[in-house]
Amino acid sequence: MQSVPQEWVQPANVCNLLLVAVLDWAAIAGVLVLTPFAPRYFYPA
Amino acid sequence: MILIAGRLHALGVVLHDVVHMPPAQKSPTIRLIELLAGYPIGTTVEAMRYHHLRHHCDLGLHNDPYLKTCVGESRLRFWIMTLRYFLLVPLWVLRGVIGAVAAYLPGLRGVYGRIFLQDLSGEDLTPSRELLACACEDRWQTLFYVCVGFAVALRPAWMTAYYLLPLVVAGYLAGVRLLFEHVQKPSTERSRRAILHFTRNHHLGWMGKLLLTPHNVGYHLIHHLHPQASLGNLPKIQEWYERSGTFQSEMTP
Repeated sequence: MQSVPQEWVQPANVCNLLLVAVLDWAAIAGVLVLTPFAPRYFYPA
Repeated sequence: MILIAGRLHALGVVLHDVVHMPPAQKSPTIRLIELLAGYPIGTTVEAMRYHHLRHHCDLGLHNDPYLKTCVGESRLRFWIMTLRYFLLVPLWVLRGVIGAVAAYLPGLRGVYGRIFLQDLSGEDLTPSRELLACACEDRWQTLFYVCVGFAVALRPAWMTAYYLLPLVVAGYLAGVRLLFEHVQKPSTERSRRAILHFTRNHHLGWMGKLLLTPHNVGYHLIHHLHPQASLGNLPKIQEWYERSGTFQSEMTP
């Protein structure tokens, strides 16, 4: 029986994971700054 | 708020990929990922590894920490059960505090392991080095939440609306996903066949990616078949299985 290509079942690269985590935080920052739900509309300084 | 909750949930999935990497000395990069993706959602690499790898090892068996047999096939019980996951992150944060104390107080380690790390082995956990490592790491998480406490004191409304509430919702999303991705009925064997019967792929569309199954964690059957495979590769592994017709032949009695 054929098996899944070995290069596909390797663990994640830590640098890629770090990048993904940073991008998730960037998305959160985007929501906080760019959307109509941004804090500046609700909690002005 | 729901978009932030989805991204906080996604951070948990990033940490989950770290948990499945071969255990090694914690490198500065992994420590940084833990700081960005672990502490903010109330967990450490060690704590998540403790219950998550036991779940993989004992999938569907009586000591699987994620198995909720009371749900069975009932949709009503399923949705009632999801409500408890609003407490998931608050309990994880509390786990950090209990763990930090348990690091110095061996008598507390049994409670810490059984209640907060979902250890169902029934063994004496006091001498466990793995548990002690979790407790020691929880000191750093607790330090993080002391800082969060100061931030909440400075900006209570802002922190509640944009961090604390989304965080509680993120815990709920993680719990709902957990219930979706496993058949909540007991298994009797550790086998590939059991994996095929007790795990499911689910919510693979864009809404799933945004909220319930970020970073391909919805390919859950494939994840259980290849736990160490990077989540980024799961879609093409799924495609490979579909092309080869492996599932169809193995699912046939």
